[in-house]
Order: sequence, then structure tokens, then C-alpha cells
Amino acid sequence: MRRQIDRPKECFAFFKRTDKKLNKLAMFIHGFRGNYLTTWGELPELLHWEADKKQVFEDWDYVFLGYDTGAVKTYLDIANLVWTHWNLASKGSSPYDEQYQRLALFGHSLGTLGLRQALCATSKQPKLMLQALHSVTFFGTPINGSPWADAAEIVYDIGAALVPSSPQLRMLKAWTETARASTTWPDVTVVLGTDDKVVGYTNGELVSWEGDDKIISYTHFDHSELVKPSGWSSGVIDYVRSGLK
Amino acid sequence: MTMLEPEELKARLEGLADGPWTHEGTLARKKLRLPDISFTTLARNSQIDLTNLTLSARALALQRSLEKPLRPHWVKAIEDKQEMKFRASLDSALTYLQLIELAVETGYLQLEQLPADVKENLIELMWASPVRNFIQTYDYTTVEFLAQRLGVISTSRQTVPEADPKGSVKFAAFLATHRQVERDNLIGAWLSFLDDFIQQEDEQNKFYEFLIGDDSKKSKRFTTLVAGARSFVVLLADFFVLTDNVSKGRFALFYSYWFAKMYGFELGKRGYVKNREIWGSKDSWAMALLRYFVHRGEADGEGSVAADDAKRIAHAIFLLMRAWEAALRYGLLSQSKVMGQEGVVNAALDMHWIEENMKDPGLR
Repeated sequence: MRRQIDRPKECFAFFKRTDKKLNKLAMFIHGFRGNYLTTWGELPELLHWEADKKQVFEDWDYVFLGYDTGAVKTYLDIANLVWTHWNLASKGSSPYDEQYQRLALFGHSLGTLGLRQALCATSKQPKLMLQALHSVTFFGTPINGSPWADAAEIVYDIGAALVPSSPQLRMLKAWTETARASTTWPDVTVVLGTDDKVVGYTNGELVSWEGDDKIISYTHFDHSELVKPSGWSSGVIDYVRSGLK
Repeated sequence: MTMLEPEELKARLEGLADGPWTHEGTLARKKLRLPDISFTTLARNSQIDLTNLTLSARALALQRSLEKPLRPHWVKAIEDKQEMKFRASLDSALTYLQLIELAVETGYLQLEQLPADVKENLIELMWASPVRNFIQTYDYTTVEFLAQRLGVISTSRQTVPEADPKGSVKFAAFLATHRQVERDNLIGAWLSFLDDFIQQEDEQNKFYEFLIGDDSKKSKRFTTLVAGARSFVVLLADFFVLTDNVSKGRFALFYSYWFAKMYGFELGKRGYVKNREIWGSKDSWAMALLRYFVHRGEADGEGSVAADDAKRIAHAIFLLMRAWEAALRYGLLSQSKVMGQEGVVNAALDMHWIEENMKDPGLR
């Protein structure tokens, strides 16, 4: 049985098991102009109502975090959200009220760049965050920017950070390489959609990032469908399950 | 039925109240809040019949004065700025109550846990008969449901839908979507345009021509409108794809005003009917937008970003049309008036054109 803790003003939804104390937390971050719940299709509902009956899923609590794309200037702003919430969760502060020890990260699109930032800016992380890290899974990560970024840039500051080979993106890549030389975190699972025209997929193997799993997973989905399961029998669920195992 | 913990209840209620509908509804609430009616006392009654209230001379006078500004717009067009302002404010005040009812219908909030001021707020608005008529005329069916749940008898008796015991996550997704819609400036520009707020003479015709292929009309303003329309359609489709047949209508009724405008329908005394004078039988803003995206896709070629985007937009426009149709049916459940549906699906979009141009079996 789970409790739904929803804070619409904060773009925050937390699904916490109530019949059993858990110490594992899975965190989901949406992408550019995404929505903290609808980005993930039926996933929040499936997890809330049925996770307790499913092996692997039953052992985790789930938090869906959101941000206003218009208010985000750099990847750091998204990383801050991750750090803040892991800090609260690992200490057992409200609204988590449980000291979580393991963390699984899932990101979509721009959210994955925020997560990359959260991984490599080690000085900003809550203590022992990387040690608590169980897995990292990226769906539709902009490996070298997005061909749509030019249009996005007109309206949103963060759009500039999505332009292929943008200064922010290059800096983040170098930062990741540097951090990875002295720190370790679990290899990142990268899932790309073969029908994803928003961030592309064809150069995945050419521009994979330091710390990414060498094997990139390809699925027959577009950028949006890539993270929208329509039931338990779905590729998205399989990737989430792998991240929680 | 699980009661919410006080903190959770507070956060949810704050989320529901935190939107432009709260401050924009102030004008209507202020005007309707009469000092000689004790709304707090009225709200304490478990049953109250608003059609049978004893009103003071002052209340009766106010009630009479509301009849003109709140008349159905087809009786006489609403052109007076003050009247427009008051009606818009009343719309916002009713939006809040609609959200509360949807929250109760989906189990996001428990009826027993609603703060007393919700009932007070409802009576403050509905005590006057012109407001109750406005609610009926403009399909605020969900507000009537809420009234009935709270023991407030208004104009007609409704069969109140049962709460969905598993709808709370869906409502959270709906609220998150609506908050995004309300905060997005591009969407705001598009909705204002749909609402006839134009920036240049003959702008609607020029924009239509731009959408169906006249590139000489291209401008920053039109690009903004397209971007806003695209965001509106995609955001809502991302939500409505999560709904089943019952919940689709329940949530779509909330957007029926905008859906009608998108699909070229107009609300009149026969309900929603296709505005053939402007759109013919099959055209609409939705159809023009679809053409715009399909043409862009064709120009860039099969498999291009634009071609894929066209497919996504087509699916979204279709899904919202189904949602709107479900809204009409849902509204019908509680309305005695004849709705001019006349085969909404086929009348709202040019299916022949779509079949010719989309080659996508998912769209049939």
C-alpha cells in the first residue's frame, strides 16, 4: 500500500510504501518543457497502485521531480533539485520521513543533462551521494545537443544549452571526464529511441560520454514515447526494472 | 477511503488555489458577497435550497442587475468592457470550484475533508439566480455536481458521478498540466488569440492564410501563435492519452470552451454547433494547424524532424477531438437541453484530407 504525497506548487509527487519501511529511493527528472507526471505516461499510476505486487519494484519508493523550464538557466539548476532532494531523503527529513540509503536516478532529455551535472559537480553533492548511488538510467539523452534547440533558444534560456556543441554542453562533457578520472559512479545506462528526431540517436556510439555504459540500448520509440509505458509489459518498464535490480 | 493527513491536505488545497483563477475570481466574489446574507450561517446547514431563499430588497436588486451582464451571449453579444470583465472573473471563480469537484470525483480530495469555506464560497456565488443560469448555460456541470455533493440545491438535480477510487494520480497529472497551461506565455498568446484578442486588423484571416500555406504572411507574431498552439495541443494530449472513456469526458469538460474554439464550434441555444458560416462543415483552427505541420513535414521529406512532428501533432489533434466529444457526452448526461452534436467527429475535421495526406493508419 502506498501513500501519494503530492505538492503541486513544488512540482513534486512522492509514492511511499506505508505497510513496510523502505530505504531505497528512485528519482525521476523530466526533460525540456516536460511535466513532472505526464512526461512518464502511466508510470506514476502503475507504481502507485501496483508496484507492491511486482518483484523489484516493491522494494523502492518513487519520487517525481519537476522544474519550470522557463526558470532554468543552466544544468546546475536541475542538479540543485537532485541534490536538495537527496539531501532531504538521506537524512530522513520531511516529506521523505525515512532515511534512504540507496538512490536510483532516471532522467529524460534535458533532465539527463541535469543529472550528469549532479554526478560530476562532486563538491556540491550531499555527503556520500555517489556511494549511495545504485544506478543511473538516461532516456533520450541529448548526446551532442538537439537539432531542435535553435527553436527552443528563442524562448528559453536553457535552450542555448541544448544546441549541438554548445559551450555549456562542451563544458559539461569535459567536467564529466575530469570528475570521472578521480571519482566513480555506476556506469550510466543510455536508452535511445531509433525514432527519436528530437535528440537523435545515430551518433550515440561516436559521442558517448565518459562513464556511460559502452552498450547503448536502442528502442523503437520517439522522444516522447520513450518514457511512456502503456502497461507493465513495456520496454520502458524493463529499463526501469533493470535500474532498480 | 483513506483520509489525507493534515499536511498533505493543506498542500493539495494550496495547489488547487494557487493559480490565476484565484485572484482573477476576486471581482465576481466581491460583487456577489452581500453583507446582509450570512454565507457562513447558510453554509452550516446540511441542506440548503438556493431556489427558495428569502432575499432582502438589496439582494433582489443585485440579482436583477446581474441578469443583463450574465445573459447568454447569443441573446445579445457581450461588448461592454465591464460586463466582459465581470463574466471573466466569474469564469475564474467557477474554475476553482470545478477543480475542487474534479479533485473530489477522482479521490484526490475527500468530500468530508473539504474546508467549510469551499461550501461558503460556492453559496456566495450561486445564491443569485443569474449566476445559476450562467452555470447551466455555459456547462459548468461539475460545479452543479459539487453543489449537490455539499447539500446545496441549485437549479436542477443532477446524478452526481461516483468518485473514482483510483483517480488521484490522474488528477495530480491533470492539475500539473493545467498549471503548466496557465503559466505558459506562448499558450497564453494562443488562447487569447482564440478568444478574439488580435493585434492587427484582419489578423485571424491572415493567420489562417499563413497556416494553410501563404508564407508571405510569416511574422514573429504568427510563429509565436503556432508555437503556443503546438504546446497547448501537445501538453493536453500528453494528459488525455492517460484517460479512459469515462475520465476523458470528465476532464475534457473543463476545457470544452477552448476545444469548441479549436474545432470551429460555437455555443448557442441548441448547445455546441459547428460554425459553418466561418468554417464550412469540416474546417477549423485545428485543421488549419494540422495542414501547417503536414506541409512543413512534406517540405522536409519523409523521416525528417518536421515530418515526425506532423505525425505527433496529428495524433494530438485527434486525441483532443475525441476528448472534446467525450466532454459533450459527459455534459449531456446532466443536461436536458439538446446538444447540437451532429456527428462531432466527422464534422470537426476534414477526414478526407487527412486520409489523403497523413497515410497514417493510427489516424483513422
